[in-house]
Amino acid sequence: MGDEVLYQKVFPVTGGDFDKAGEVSTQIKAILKGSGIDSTVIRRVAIASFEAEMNVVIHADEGEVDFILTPSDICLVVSDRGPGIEDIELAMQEGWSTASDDMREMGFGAGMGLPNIKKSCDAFEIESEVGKGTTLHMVINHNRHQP
Amino acid sequence: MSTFLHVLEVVSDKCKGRLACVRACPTEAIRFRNGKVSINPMKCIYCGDCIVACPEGAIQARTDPWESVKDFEFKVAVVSPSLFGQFPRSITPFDIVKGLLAIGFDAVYDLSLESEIYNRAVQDYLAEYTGPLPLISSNCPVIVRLVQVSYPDMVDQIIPLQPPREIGGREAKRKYSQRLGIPQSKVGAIYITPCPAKTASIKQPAEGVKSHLDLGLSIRDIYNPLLSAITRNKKSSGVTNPVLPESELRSKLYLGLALTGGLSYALKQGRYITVAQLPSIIKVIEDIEKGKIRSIDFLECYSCMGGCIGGPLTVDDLFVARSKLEKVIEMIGRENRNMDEVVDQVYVKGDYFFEQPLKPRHIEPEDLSITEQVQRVKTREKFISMLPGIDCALCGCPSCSVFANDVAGGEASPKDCPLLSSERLESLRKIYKISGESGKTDGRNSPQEP
Repeated sequence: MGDEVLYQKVFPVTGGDFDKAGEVSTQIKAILKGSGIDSTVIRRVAIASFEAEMNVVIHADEGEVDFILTPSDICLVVSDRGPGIEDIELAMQEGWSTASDDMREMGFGAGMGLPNIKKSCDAFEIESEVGKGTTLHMVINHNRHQP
Repeated sequence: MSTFLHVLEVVSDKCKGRLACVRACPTEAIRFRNGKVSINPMKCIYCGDCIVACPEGAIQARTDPWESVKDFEFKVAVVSPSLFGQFPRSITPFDIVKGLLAIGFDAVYDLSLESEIYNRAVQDYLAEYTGPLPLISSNCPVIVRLVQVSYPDMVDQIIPLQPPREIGGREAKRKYSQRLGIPQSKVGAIYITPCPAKTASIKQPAEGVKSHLDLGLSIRDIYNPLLSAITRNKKSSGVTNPVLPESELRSKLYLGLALTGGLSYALKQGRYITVAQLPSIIKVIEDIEKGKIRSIDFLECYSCMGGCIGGPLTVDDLFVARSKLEKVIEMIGRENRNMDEVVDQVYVKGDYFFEQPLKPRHIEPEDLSITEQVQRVKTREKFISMLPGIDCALCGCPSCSVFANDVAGGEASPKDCPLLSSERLESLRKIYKISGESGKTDGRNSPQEP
């Protein structure tokens, strides 16, 4: 029952497309709102999915957000084809960023992305291979009241 | 015939089914069904955009009538600063104050001091606040209600301070009841409002306590008698009044609060943004919610373009009114009055908070299981792909997307779309008296139930 997939959708993300950045997060928010998920939970999902989406836009060529809703959880798997992360432990530290100077000038690269994602999730895992890409697994329990 | 919704009233006899209100509503609360406009009271935030949009004037603001003022022994006008931009340039704020006395008010309460106090209280609050940012201004009741209804998690980010009009209402009642030796209930604090939302905020304050103001009269309703009184006064006295009455309207800030940026300017906060009009405000709040907009400490929001000076119940053109008000502010600036010392004398830290904490206004969730609700989302997605996406609103919903929502929720039928159903097209021709292939015009021009 807990693993039953109620809804699943894959959203593509284009690297470098700052104009559209954040739209996946907006769409996921709408689906969750329509599904009657608690607003506090939606806000956490919005933050996590936005940060993850931005990471793809900033660092990678392309990627996707796989969104899965089950009776107990919201799962987001964000994978990209990008440079990968050399030292994950370092990347998880607040303030650490490998964003280019251009990106920093645009106001990105504060080094809060991954730490913020982790804070917003109930379970978080990161896999990365240098030169190939990065995949984030995020789970947020939605505790929705079952009538 | 009319339906009453707090402060908005749909006058069905005047409605010609133009759909302008349906399209204009920023919270998608309006539908046109069976030849009638209906406003969802849970979603409506009283912005008044529908009033302005309707070409037939079929949506009216239910502000308080002049007759209700007579219930009070002593009548104090508490004036929105936007009023001072509504008259010809030859009419000074002092003339307006005298005019208000001439039409029957016993006093005009100047909100200068309260505006300065509010500003000080906001600064104090910002300095000590450690919660999530940005903080959101509390003076526009539409924004307060928007956050309560649509962004319940951000309710604590609204600065919990009573706006100047409320602090002023409280002070006016105290002052005149003491001076005249009558109970506060006999002193009427009557707000002269540029928008229906402030009347609504008097009748049902956001924080759920009693407002310090008693009534909200619209600028539009008092404009004509007020203008005549001012003109009569000027003719009979034959003297040119000074711009400002002695010891009144000392604060630039008070008048500036009717304009976008007025508060942020006064706060001298580095990291603020000023946003007006609901579509822009909603976008900014959504971006703040997901973290796209950060590094902002203070968000000053106005539902109306240009600030309160662009309120739906004002009279003059927004841009002209703004220019006139800025001129008055400039003149006050020349007089260079320093309010800081006065504020120091009367300011009581902590005395201006909302009397109850703001709470979210939850729209009652339907009693459905998550599986049923997700099924609705899927139905909606499937249905939306069948729709033309041109947002013509002929189904009675503001957009194809909202229509799909209503269909999934069982509130509308797929047959309401004229491109999906020829019956619907036929019935629309009848409603709008269009003679199509089979229709004939019957010469009338108000909408009929099909």
